[in-house]
Amino acid sequence: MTDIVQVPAISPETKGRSLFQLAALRFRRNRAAMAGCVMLALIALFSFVGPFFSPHSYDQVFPSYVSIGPSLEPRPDTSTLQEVMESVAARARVTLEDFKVEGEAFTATVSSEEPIDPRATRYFDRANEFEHTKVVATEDDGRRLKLEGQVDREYFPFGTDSNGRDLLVRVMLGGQISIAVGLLASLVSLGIGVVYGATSGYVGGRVDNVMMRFVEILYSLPFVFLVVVLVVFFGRSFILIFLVIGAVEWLDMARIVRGQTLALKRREFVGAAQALGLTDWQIIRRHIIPNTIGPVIVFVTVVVPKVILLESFLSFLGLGVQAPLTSWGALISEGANNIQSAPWLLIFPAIFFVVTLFSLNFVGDGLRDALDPKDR
Amino acid sequence: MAETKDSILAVRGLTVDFSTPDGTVEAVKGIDLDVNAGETLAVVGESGSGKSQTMMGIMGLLAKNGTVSGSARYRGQELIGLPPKALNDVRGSKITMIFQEPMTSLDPLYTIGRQIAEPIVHHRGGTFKEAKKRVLELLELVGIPEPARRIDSYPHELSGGQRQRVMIAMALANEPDILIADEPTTALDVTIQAQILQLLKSLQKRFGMAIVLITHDLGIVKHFAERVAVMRRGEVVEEGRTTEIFERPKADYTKMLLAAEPSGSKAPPPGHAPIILEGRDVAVEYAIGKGLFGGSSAVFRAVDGVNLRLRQGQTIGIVGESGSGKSTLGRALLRLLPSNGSYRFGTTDISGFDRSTMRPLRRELQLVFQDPYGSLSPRLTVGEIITEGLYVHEPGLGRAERDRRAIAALKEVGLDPASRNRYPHEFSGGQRQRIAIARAMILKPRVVILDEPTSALDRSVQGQVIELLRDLQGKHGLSYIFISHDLSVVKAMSDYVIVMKNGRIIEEGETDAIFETPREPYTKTLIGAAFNV
Repeated sequence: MTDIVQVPAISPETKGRSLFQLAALRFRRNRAAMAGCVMLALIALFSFVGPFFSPHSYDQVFPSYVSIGPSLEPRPDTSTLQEVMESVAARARVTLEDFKVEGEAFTATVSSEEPIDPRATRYFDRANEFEHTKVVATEDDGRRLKLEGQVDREYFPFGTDSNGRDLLVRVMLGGQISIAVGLLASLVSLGIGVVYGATSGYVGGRVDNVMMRFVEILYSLPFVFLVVVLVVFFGRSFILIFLVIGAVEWLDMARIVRGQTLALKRREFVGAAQALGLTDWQIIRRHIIPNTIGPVIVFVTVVVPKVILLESFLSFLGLGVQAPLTSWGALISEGANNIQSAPWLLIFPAIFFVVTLFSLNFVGDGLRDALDPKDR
Repeated sequence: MAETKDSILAVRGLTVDFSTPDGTVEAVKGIDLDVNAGETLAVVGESGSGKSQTMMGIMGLLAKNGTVSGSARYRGQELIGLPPKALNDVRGSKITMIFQEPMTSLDPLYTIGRQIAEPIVHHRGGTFKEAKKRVLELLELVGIPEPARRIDSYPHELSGGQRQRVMIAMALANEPDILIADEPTTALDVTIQAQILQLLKSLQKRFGMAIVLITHDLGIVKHFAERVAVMRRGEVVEEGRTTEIFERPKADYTKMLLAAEPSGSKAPPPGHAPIILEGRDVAVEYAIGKGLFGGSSAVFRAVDGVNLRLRQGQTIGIVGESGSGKSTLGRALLRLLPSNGSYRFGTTDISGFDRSTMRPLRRELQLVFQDPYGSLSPRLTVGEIITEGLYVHEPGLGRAERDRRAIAALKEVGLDPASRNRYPHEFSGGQRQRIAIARAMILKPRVVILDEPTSALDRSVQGQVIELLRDLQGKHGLSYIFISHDLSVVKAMSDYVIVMKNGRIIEEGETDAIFETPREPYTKTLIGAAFNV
C-alpha cells in the first residue's frame, strides 16, 4: 500500500540525483582521491599559469649560468659579483675601492691615477650582470667616480640545464606538453575506442568478428614501427604525437567498451528500447554508451599516465617533441644523462611527473570506488 | 515469546545498521526471536523488511558497511561479536545456510563433490578422499540421481533444482542444529519448488534439526512452518503458531499480507471481437556451437509450431516453467527475434517485415518486462525513459508537449508527475514497474505483451500492479498477452490460458476450464504444485 501515491521521501524537491551525482558524492568523501584532484589542479595551474609569472622564457639561454644548481638565492651572488666587478674594473683600468650590492642596485667607487672618462661605465654595462650604470658623483677632479647601477640578478630556484636555460620554466613547459598530450591522446583514444567498441559489441555477429580481428591486427603491429611509419608519412608535428598515441591506445578502450556492451546488450532496457522501435545507432547513443561510462572513466585515468610515459619514450627516441620544446619525459631523459654532474636536472621533472602519476592513480582508484556500486 | 523451553537460538534486541552516503539505514530495529529445537520457524516479510539481514547479521555475513548489535545466543554461546575464527566453528557446522540463487551460490570451478566435501573436511578434518563416502551418502539423501556419477559434475551441468539440492547437501554435511533457508525456492519452478520443500521436510524429520525459513511466499509458510514471525520495516509485527496467524491475524499488516493473494477474474471479450494479433506455426530456432567459419551446428528449437490468436480486449495467459519458450514466443510475436511462421497484426500481414518496416507498428505493439531493475536505463531520468517512444514515433513533438504527455502517463499509472526528473534507482520495485508500464502506455498501444510483469514484486505490490493493468485494459480496450509462471496471477488476469512445455503448447482453453478441469497430467502437476504446495 505504501507504493501507490508516495514519492520516495528522500528530498522534497523534484530534482532527482543521478547515478553520476551519487558517484560524485561518494568521490568527494574519498580523501586520497580528493587530494589527488587538488594536486592535479595545482600542477596544471603551475604548468599553464606559471610561465606568465616568470621573467624567463623556456628557450632563453643564460651563458653565464650554465648548469648551476638549484638555489633560492639570486644569481649571481654577492661574492661572485665582487669578482665580476673586480675583473670589469681591471678591464676598465680603474681600481675598485668600494663595492656594495643592495637588492637590485649596486654602488661602486672606482679611482685611478688619471681622471676617468665617464664613458668607462660602458665597460660595466657590457658585463651580463650589470645594467644602467651611471655616474652619480665625481670627486678628486675626476680621479674618483661614484657609480650606481642595477644588478641584473636572476633567480633559478630549480637551477639551469647544460645549455643555461631556466629549469623552472622548462618544467612548466614540459608540464604543459605532457598534460596536453596525456589529455588529448586519451580523448582521441576515448572517442575512437568507445564508438568502435560499442558498435562492434552491439551489432555483434560477423561485423563484431571482423571489427575485433582488425583490432587484433593493429595490436600485433609493433608500436614504434607504426610511429616511425606515420612520422615518415606525415612529417613530425606536435599534433601527430597525440594522434599516434591515441591511435594505439584506443585498442584497449575498444575492447573494454565492447565487453561492457556485450553485457549491457542483454539487459532488459535495451530490449525495451528495441521494442520501442529505436534504431541501432539511437540505442548505442542513448543506452549503451552512457552506461559504459563508469569503467571508461576509470580506464582513462590509467591511460593518461600511460600516454605521458609513451610520449616520453617517443621523445627519448627522438620521435617526440623537439628542442627547444620539451616535455617531462624529455627532461627526465636529459636529466638521466647528467645524473652525476647535475642531479637536479633529473630530480625536479621527476618529482612533478611522479606526483602527477600518483595523483592520477588515486583519482582513478577513487573514481572506480565511487562508480562501482552500479545499480543500487 | 512464550516458548523458551527448547530454545537453541535466542535472539534479543538485534539491530542491523547500514551506513550509506545518505546516512545510517536501520535494517533491523531490535528484534527478539527464538528458534526451538526441531521446529520450523518461518520469517515472513516483503522485500526490505530486514528478514534476510537478521540472519546475515547473526551469521556474521553482512556487507562491509553493515554493523550488528544486540545478542544472539546459540545454546548459551553468544554469536554477536565473536571473532571470525570462533564463529566459523559454529557456522557451516551447527548453523548452516541455503541461499536463494542456486545458480550463483556454487563455485563454477569445482565439482559438486568437492564443494560438498569442503565443510566436512573443514570441520571434521580428514582428506577429501575420506569425505567421499559421506558425500555420496548426502547426494543420495537429497535425491540426486546416480550420485556416483554426479559427484564429479560441475555446477553448470546441473539444473536449478539439482543445484539447490546440492546446496542442501552442503548445508546438511555436518548435521546442523539449525538450517537457515533464505528464500530457498524463489528462483525455482513451481513443480521443483514443491519437491525441494518436501525434501527439506523429510530431512528435518530424519535429523531433527530446526529450520528457519525466510520467505515472502505465504503459500509455502502455510504448509510448511509451525511458527511464523511476520516482519515489517525491521520489526517483528506478529509472531505465533502458523494456524493462529492464518486464521486469526492480529496485526493489520499480517491481515493485509494474507489478503494480498491476487483475486478476481476476467470475462472473455465478446465473440465478435476482431482478431488483433495472430501467429501461425511460430517457430524459433537457435544454432548452438557455431564456430567462426560456420561448420555443422546443432539446432535448438525454443518455440516449435505454436498457433496463437489474440482478440481485441482479450488477455491470453501463457504459463510454463522456465525454458518452456514462453518469453521467446512473446518476442517472436512482436517480431523482435528472427523466427519462422506467419504473423498478422489486425489486417496487415507482418510475416516478412524487417526492423525498419516494423518500426511504425512498434507503437501499437508494446512490451513490459519482468525485471523492474533491469528494464529501465539507470542513466536516464524517468521523464526521458517514458518519452523515449515518442522520440521515435512522433519526432516532431516539442519539449513542452513531450513533458505534458509524460505527466499524463505518470498520472495514469498512479505516480506523482513531479517525480519525472528523478532517476530509476530512487524508486521501489513496484514504482519502477509502473514506470515501465507508463513507457509502454504513452504510445497508446493496442497490444501489450507482459513478460512476467509481477514476478519480481512483493505480493501486496503485485496486487496493485495487476489492478493497474486491468484498469488500463478497461480504459483503452487493450489486448494483453500475459506471460507468467505464477498461476495465481494468471488466473486473476487472463480469460484464456495457454500451457507451454518445451516450446510446444500442451493445453489451451478458457481460464476456468483449465484451472477446474485440466486434462493433461502436466497441467495438473503445475496447478497442484502452485495451489497446494
